[in-house]
Amino acid sequence: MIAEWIGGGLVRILTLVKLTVDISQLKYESSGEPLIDIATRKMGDSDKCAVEEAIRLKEKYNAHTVVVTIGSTLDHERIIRDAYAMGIDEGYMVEVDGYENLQAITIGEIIKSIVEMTGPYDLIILGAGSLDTHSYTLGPIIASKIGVPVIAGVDSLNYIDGYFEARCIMEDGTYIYRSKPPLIVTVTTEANEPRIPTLKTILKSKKMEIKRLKIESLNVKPEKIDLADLKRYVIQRKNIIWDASEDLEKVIDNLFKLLVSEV
Amino acid sequence: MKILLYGETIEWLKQARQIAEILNGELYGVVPSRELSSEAAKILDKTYIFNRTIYEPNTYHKIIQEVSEKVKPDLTLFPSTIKGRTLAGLYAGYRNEPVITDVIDIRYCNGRELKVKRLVYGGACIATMKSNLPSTLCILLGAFKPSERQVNGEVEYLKEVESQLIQTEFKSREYVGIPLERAEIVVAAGRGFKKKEDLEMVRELSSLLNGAWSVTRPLAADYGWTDTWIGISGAMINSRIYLAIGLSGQPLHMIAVRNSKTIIAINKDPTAPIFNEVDYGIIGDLYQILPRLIEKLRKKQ
Amino acid sequence: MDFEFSEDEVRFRESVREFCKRYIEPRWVEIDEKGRIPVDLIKKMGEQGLFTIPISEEYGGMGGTITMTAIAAEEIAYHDPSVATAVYTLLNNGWPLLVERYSNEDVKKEILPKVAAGEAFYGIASTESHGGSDVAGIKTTAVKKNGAWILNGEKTYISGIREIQELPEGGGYFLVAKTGKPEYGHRNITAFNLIVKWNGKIRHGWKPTIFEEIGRRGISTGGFILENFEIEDKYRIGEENKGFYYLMEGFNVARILVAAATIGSGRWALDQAIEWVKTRRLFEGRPLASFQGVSFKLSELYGELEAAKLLTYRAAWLADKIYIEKNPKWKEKDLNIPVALCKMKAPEATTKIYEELMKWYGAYAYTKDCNAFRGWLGTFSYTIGAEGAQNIMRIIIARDLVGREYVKG
Repeated sequence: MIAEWIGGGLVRILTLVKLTVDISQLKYESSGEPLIDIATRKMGDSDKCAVEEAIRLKEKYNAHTVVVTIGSTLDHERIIRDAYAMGIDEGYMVEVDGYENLQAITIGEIIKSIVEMTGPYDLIILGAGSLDTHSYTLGPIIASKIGVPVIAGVDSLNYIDGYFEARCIMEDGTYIYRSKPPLIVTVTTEANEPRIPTLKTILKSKKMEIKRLKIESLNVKPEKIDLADLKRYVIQRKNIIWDASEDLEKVIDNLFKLLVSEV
Repeated sequence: MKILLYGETIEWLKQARQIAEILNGELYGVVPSRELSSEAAKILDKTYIFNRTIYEPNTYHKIIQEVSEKVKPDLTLFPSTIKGRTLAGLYAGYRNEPVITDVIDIRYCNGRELKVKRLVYGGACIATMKSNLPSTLCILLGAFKPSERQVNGEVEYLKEVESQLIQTEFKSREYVGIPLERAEIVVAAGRGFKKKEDLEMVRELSSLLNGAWSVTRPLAADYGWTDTWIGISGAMINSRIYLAIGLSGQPLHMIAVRNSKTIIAINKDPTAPIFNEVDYGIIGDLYQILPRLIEKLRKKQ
Repeated sequence: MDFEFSEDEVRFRESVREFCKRYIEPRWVEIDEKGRIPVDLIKKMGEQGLFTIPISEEYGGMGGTITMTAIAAEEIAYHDPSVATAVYTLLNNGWPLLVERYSNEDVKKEILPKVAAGEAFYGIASTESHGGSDVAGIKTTAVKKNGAWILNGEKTYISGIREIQELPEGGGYFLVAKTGKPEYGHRNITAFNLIVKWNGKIRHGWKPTIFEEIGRRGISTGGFILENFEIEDKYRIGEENKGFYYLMEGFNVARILVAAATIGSGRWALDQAIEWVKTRRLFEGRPLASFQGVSFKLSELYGELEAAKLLTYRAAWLADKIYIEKNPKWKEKDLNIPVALCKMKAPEATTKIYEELMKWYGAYAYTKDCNAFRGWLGTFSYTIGAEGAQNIMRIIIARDLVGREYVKG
């Protein structure tokens, strides 16, 4: 538990970015096994929005921004530098084997440890759900572990008169939450349009330092996901295709009869 | 084995009961609604009811946390919705136990181990995992059939909820017709539609078919044509018929519709990904097809 | 030999791609159909740092390389296959490089930052109505009078005529005019920074007209008459009577970027073809791709495109060695053959892809529902001429292979 928080204005913001599999580029073996090892990886879209949100607050309130990622491959280095190119001030990579198979609660423990080491933070902001596992649980897990409230699935965030105001659109309606810092917020891809790094910021980001943290130094015992199998999800469909360019009337008629019979 | 759930709808409670049957467990539940207490008591072995205040996850979590300390469950279930996953994360973090979302299948493995199947990569793949109890699972609605088993469950009314940790304002969504998640027939519009006014065709078609209608995320979130959409961050549907019009079939949309029994699509681009996932696919211009189709359906009525 | 792009180049390409997906791809058909790149898009491109990439930061440039500029041209053309936006971009990257290399310091600081910001346009004005390839035969004159130059003449098939008039800060051209005695051949041409609109005003003596083109319509093409157009001597580029050589250097750089642009467009066409042949079924449901005539052709087209791409980036690499790294091992003229090769191959490889794509599409390709024709017309313009006629490329290469005495041109 973090005992003391910086009160008053917005001073320190932590963002998390995840190296996710680019599912739009995923290829498969004939057996249905996805080719994960050679899949391209990138920073998730909602993470970019989280970074963008952090930078906007930094620009307005002169806050210090920090980015963290779990994993220390060259791809991880690249996404930290991409965050730098967007304007983040400081970054950490956590060196841990099998970063892809860590349980969400382990990641929560790691973040808790980093917050104790480098915090406190007025705001911890991350993408609501990643492109590859879309579990939406990491933000809330961190909230439980460090004892700070969370608002998840935010598409609009403002900081007015010492209060965060966050809007969430959910299944049953629109919620507006108001809370003083410290707060954890997870953002959707509707939150903003992330800025695109320019050549100048890309070149500048190359020269910035990335700090490395070994998992052992964080006192966290990594719990792995026990993955028994991973296969393409194929639901056999009839796959009957009617081409309207051949005979529009007939196709409309077919569709009409189909709907009438099924309804 | 003791199973605890959080739920807001009877359909979900019945699906959770099915899971309890599979695992041979007692089913307890936290339900934020007095109106549902009598129905819930027919499904759950014990129901904990609290007054529905406006949903605020940190406050709701405290309530669920307190109940879990009484029940001491081996397995906790949440629906794999935005609210469900948020509460599941708070819960699993507090209990320091594994949480798996988008679950579509659960089996016993050995003793204290479950074999769980979940969707990953936007629904493109199924991952099979082993999870030691105690665990938290978020279940994809519609993955389990609702159980019709009835019980005579206890009901406990929790004390009045204290003021929320965070100030909350809520504006309810206006429901016109059947809620998407329950509709048997769903018609969805995608970016093939050029103007907001053209959605009128979709509305009429869905009405003629006695179904519900919605759009893909860009039409709601980017264009602002509607409040709600179908997708992993919106509504997930389990219809008998899903008619996709002018939409390409992006993964995060398809994950929310794959449970439908019959998928039909109309799109003028023969290379659209949706044509890989249809029972019936029509390659054609929706602006030519819809008006004629609607005319024929009107005549039939 | 390292055939990989560097980390910076990969990240830069990603950022250009992201920009194009967001701001160019959704509008490219409209840009071609309406025949206009909106001024707000040009401004955005300036803000994103897509102009003056290889110019040093001292003059408001991005401090990048010609290779990165080629990457930008390629990606922009992938997302606007009519190549209009990519051509707009490459002009405002290539010719400013010559300005930086040979112009007066004050003039550099005056012009380049505005081009960088997307507020002014900078292009090339060399072609005249009686000849484009025949540069030495130009008739526009520049006469020195009281420390200034008076220009008279006419230029035609010049890009950017409308853009200069629409952009707030206007802009101008790398223009070549005759300044010396006719008997000196091409040693009597001087290059000038002809700024035609500045501080919101069109300067006296510049009379523009705009043509309607069949393709690559997003960027304007037109001509202008110069009637006693006066400019101060400080706007002269480099030394008097050396303009021809600077022009050839500029063409070398521009041609690399043009080749890169056509390759981007060709890649788009190839991707469309791949999707089409997988899904289009004929003759009892056989996909087009299963016919060897089709799949073999696809492989050949890909081979041609890849070859042209490698030639282009090899030329870009060499251009960087000379102009950015200033490595004394290579001279400006070492670029001639590599450039001629990529400028010869790239547009030809690309237009072939479009032809085949449209044949596979069938009648659909002949309707405006299908956008392939826009890429076809756009890239075809580079086989007709523009930044160097294809047959001039052949002369340059032939001369190098067999010698000047055999190849008179």
